[in-house]
Amino acid sequence: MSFTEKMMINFTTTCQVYFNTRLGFSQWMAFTSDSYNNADFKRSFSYRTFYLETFYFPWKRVELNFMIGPLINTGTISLTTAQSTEVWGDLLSEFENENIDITHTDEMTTTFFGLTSAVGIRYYLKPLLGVEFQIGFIENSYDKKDWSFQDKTVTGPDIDVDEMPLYSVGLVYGL
Amino acid sequence: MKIFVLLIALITVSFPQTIQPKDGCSSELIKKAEKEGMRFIKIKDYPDFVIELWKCRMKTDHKKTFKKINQRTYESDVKQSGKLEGYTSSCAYCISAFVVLFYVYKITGN
Repeated sequence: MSFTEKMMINFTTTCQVYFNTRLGFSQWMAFTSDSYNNADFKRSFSYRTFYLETFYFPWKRVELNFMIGPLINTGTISLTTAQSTEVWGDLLSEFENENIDITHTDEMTTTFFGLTSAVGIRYYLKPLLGVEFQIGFIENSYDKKDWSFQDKTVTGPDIDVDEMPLYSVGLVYGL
Repeated sequence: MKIFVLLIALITVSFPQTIQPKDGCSSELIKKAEKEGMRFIKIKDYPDFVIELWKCRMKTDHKKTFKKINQRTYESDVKQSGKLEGYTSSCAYCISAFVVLFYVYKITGN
């Protein structure tokens, strides 16, 4: 896994539904891009969860929180390759275009499920602004034989995403 | 066209209800925030509250008011959610156990 796949970008939105409880949606994005046989290669994984979070304030400004939720994940591998499509070439040259490179992008995708859980501590700098550190994990049921490409089931890469430790640092803003 | 006319009518009617004359730091929403904390402001009142805070910022004693609102918010947080009760504590203990077990298995290699 590359650095950008290990350092994921996360976006979370939550809503407090009870004094000690929030419901939320969270998404982590991991991606890498490279060159494969002179073609643009991109691989991305999205980990999405609707989760339950309970929390309490042991001291003023300090919140401890505990989150758990099922994951619905998608993985995508895309490759942009050069094409030699004569019909497009003829049409473009008819419009007086020259030396236009025709490329084609296709992708293979997979969907897999998992579970995430974490405990965190949040310090409120202001009533509406806090910093948070969380430690937890992501457990996935990734199967490399469950990728699909142009409606066909194909074998994908052997990536170790079954058990991932999760350390998260973030800014929290909201009521 | 009818919808357009109706929209204009709705906007005309609804504006006087949402925008009320505010009196700097002594407005109703700021008084409520000072008394109960910022989190008791309803979401629909929040835009008005932000505007009122902005107006309050122009006053000379705004720092005192802001400090009072912040302190009251922190106090009400502890008062409202100072303890885990009922299912929330069960949930917290389970999650803590999951996380600890995960790292124990990870470290011991089982």
